[in-house]
Amino acid sequence: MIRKLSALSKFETEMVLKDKGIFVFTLLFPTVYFLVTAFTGSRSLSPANFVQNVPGFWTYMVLVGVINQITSAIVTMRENNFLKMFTFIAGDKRLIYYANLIPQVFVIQAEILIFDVIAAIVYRADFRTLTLMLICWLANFIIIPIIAFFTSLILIVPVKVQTMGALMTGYLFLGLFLAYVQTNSLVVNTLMAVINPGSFIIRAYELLLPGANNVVAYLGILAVIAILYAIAGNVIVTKMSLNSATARA
Amino acid sequence: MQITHFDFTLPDERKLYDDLNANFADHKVNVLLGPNGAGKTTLLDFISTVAPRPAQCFTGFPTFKRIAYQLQGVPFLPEATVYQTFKLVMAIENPKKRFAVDELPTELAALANTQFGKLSGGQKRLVIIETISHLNRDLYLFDEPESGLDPQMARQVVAKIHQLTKRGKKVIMTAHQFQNINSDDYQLHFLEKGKIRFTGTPTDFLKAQQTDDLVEAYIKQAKFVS
Repeated sequence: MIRKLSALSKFETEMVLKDKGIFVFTLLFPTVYFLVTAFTGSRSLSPANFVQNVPGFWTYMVLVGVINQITSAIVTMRENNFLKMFTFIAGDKRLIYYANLIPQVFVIQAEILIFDVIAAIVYRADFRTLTLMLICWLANFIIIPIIAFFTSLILIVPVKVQTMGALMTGYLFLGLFLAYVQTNSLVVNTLMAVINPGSFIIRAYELLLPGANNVVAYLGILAVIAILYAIAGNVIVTKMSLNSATARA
Repeated sequence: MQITHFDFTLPDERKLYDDLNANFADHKVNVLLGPNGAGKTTLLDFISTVAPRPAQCFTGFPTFKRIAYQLQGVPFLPEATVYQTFKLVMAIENPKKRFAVDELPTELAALANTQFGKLSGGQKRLVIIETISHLNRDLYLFDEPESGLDPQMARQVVAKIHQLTKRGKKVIMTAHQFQNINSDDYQLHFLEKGKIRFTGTPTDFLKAQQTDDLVEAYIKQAKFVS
């Protein structure tokens, strides 16, 4: 099983590195926007303002990366029969899913790392800020798969490729919008983190930022949500149809 | 491998299979014939378990993991070279062995470094068939394997499929072409209007339709049903 996964992941990595287009949405767009707002905004570019600006960009990059490079990729693979073909070859569709997920986690992390280097230069990051960036970056190795499992809910909806783009764009904007709906209520914030992956990411970063409130309570809640996402995601991947949404049977 | 009393209705309420019964021979190449839309590919989907296979209707078929299925279309990544694709399949099939470029089947050696997306339709089909044939499974399903191939390549592909039965493998394929179905090593199954209307060797089929040409026999059978 592990060897099969390793062979598939290696192949997937080779293919991912051939496609430079993925960097446009996940890295180039937010970086350009970040630079424009940084140099035209009224806020000073100090480490103190860093924690208020940069986590939003990380959230965007994780969400867009997961949606475009993992969840949409699986839908496209299903629609063009690649998923079906390679599931027959590999013997288990979960292998195909994980073989896509693993290299994409590293690709998204590479994109965030490049962004972080730029952000660190722009904000003249001090040692404390750099440490914070590193901790959040390392946390992404857990956050990205969890968000991928959550967004895999889309895999059970009979979505056609043509409608996928529109659906994902709407999902992304709604997710990001809701991520910034913040209250002091633990219940509301928990509910938001359950239904919205954007809120989950923001809450997770907030736990790592200085001055976080209710750390133990939120950590427990996010851990439970993460486990539920992981279970649900794996069940969905196991049960999802190999057939295209346009297939007869 | 048997299908008994199988019914299936499409979402548009059209009955695709109506008390369908079929008996597939273990040591012959089973060829599923029938007009477009008769449900040949969908039947392969059920046999392969891509569509849920009702256990009470399908008996003697291997499980999902023991089936290889060549799909219609070109379901390999266009960016991957023929060697990369083949190497991946061999790595999955035999994870302990490193696959070298000179181990590619002769037919694919010249295409080793060509991206799958840049191959002609026929070459793509050849790569898929070669790849599928190298998997070690009990049952092989081929959906129109000759489609889009020139006569020489089509003969090569059918010969390759035929070899599988010589290795003790079970084979079911769909077809619209008959020039290579030239011996009684093939078992024909004519599917139309929800049922298998004929099962037998090409010789039986010709005898039943009183002709010596398989295409003519096919047309006569189709007319008889309609």
